[in-house]
Amino acid sequence: MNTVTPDVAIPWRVKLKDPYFWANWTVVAAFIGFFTVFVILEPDKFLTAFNVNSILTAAAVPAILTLGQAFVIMTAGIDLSNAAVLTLGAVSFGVGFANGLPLIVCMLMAVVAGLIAGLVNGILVAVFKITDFIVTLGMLSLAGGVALVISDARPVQVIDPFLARLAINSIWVVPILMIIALVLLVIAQFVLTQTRFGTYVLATGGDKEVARAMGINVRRIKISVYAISGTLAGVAAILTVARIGSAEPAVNTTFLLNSVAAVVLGGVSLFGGRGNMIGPFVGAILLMMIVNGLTVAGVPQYYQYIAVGIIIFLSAALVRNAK
Amino acid sequence: MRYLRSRRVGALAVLASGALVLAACGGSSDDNGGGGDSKPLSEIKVAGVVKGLDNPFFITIKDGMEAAAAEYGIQLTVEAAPGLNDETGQANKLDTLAGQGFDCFVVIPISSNNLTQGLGKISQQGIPIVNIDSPVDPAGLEAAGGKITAFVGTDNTAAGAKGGAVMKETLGDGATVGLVAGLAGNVTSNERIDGFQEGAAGLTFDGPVNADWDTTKALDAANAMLASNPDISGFFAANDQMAQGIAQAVEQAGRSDIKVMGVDGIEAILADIAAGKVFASVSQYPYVMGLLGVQACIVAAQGGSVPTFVESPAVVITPDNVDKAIADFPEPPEAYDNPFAALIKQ
Repeated sequence: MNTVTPDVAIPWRVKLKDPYFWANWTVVAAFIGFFTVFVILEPDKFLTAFNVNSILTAAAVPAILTLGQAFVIMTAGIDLSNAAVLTLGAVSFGVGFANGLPLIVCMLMAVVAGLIAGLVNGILVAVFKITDFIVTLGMLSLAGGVALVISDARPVQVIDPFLARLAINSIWVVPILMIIALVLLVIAQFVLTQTRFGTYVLATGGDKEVARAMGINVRRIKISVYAISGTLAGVAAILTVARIGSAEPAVNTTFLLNSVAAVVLGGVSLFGGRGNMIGPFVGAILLMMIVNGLTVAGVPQYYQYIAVGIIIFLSAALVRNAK
Repeated sequence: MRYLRSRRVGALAVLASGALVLAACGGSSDDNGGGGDSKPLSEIKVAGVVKGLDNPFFITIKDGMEAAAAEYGIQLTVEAAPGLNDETGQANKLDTLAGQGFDCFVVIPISSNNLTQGLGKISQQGIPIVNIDSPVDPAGLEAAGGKITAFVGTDNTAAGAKGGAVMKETLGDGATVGLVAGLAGNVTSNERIDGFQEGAAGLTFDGPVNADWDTTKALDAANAMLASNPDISGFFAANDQMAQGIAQAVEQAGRSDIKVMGVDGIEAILADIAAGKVFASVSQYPYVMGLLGVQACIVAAQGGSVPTFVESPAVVITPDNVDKAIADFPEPPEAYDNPFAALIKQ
């Protein structure tokens, strides 16, 4: 609980000596650093409205998954199934669409599929006391398999004018997809910092025994965070279907890796108990910006993998230091 | 605590310098953006977005694109999906390149729709698009306001059928063939397998078993299939890397009578065919696909009218023609149509 102490009254000098402060701000510093490097290297190409729009479009889905992952990691858990649950959500959407159901029903199917997968994760972790790692690894395989079965392993084309507008339109340089992600960020940050649930989430991650002694229903909090992660994967599935124009049955594990990396980069401790939502969100955008910037700068593909790998190592190293 | 902080600052410094080094080794390309129809060849900038470069097939396509670029002296940038299966990652790459002042795009979508939105944005800037290898879905593209100037590729169903016909001729009616497919749900894999079954109608099929385009997984799959079904006298794999895995399983089982066939025609498979380890490969000449794609792009960038559909060659390589195939690689052992070369203004 020491970590959720409000920082209003603490003088700056003390704050600067606090490693937690640095863990929170690393991502912002890294963001500004990379941004500056890319602007200097490619002044005419990187900072165009078109390119900024591309980065934000690319970052919307990973950012939403990252919010769910952040909730889970704050309770000292991990959700390795989010990319597979996204695929399950997308395929559920596709099955509904192929059967001529109204769009809103298809969307609900995606979200409900995500919610159910999340609840199963949460119940197995909290009630049956199976390690989070194993449960969500199992769900990664299970959700991916169910997605293949119900889609018969074939993609479903989803051509719909509303979804197309959702994917293409922007307000100024900010794509609608990113606006949806930002709205979810505001809600997530509000829930974390302004509600009793948010305090309980951090308390559960901080020290389970203390949390229990304080009368917090740790089991319910655990189930809830996995359910949130699953539901957000379902929402992300809708945006992915809009972006790709079809419901694809194959699991894209890049989403999983990026969500964990972004959460860690965003200053959330992998041991739980500490963090906010803004850091991981910026982390998700940062990862997409790096790939975009390296592409614009003409850095060959293979070096881009190396760069992202180094960032993930460094972010993990930073978190280890912070604990 | 001070110790911790200094290490953190050190890490940040590494991060920043790493970024500088990485960015610097790529160098910055000349920017000579803008349109203009009658550009000299040296000012034409073509962008390619291909599938993952973790498959030799797409590396060979890239080689073909680079060969064409070098031949005509144009500027070429090729980007790939971060992985064979990363649909959104590939869409992100296309979006990134879409705003960089290229004169034409050569694209291979991972799925029929994943690049659609980005292609719409490119078409709306009036930039021509050449689609190679795997087709973009026309209905989705139209909805996004996109337009494909030309398509160059082989029909995967037809290629599978070609292989199926040869397999049937070799094994005779009633023989059993094990089918090993790529990633579950992949359109290319499905088309090749379906096509093979059409071409080899009359044979008995075991599978398809998905081996995710992977050599080791195909080896395991073939072992399992051989154990459960000793009647198998042939294997058809949806790509060459899997065929190589199957050939290994067949060799280890001491069943060198079994005929293994792949699809793609990567360089390594030709050596395997010559050595008798693999029976055949339906070779699609990715090099030619890349070459034709860039040539089509040059014609389009010069404002010329481009043939809208060009079929690139597919040849079944067997022990009969493998020597010529190796000698002519990466070009095919048979002559093929190239309608673009004559249209390029020097």
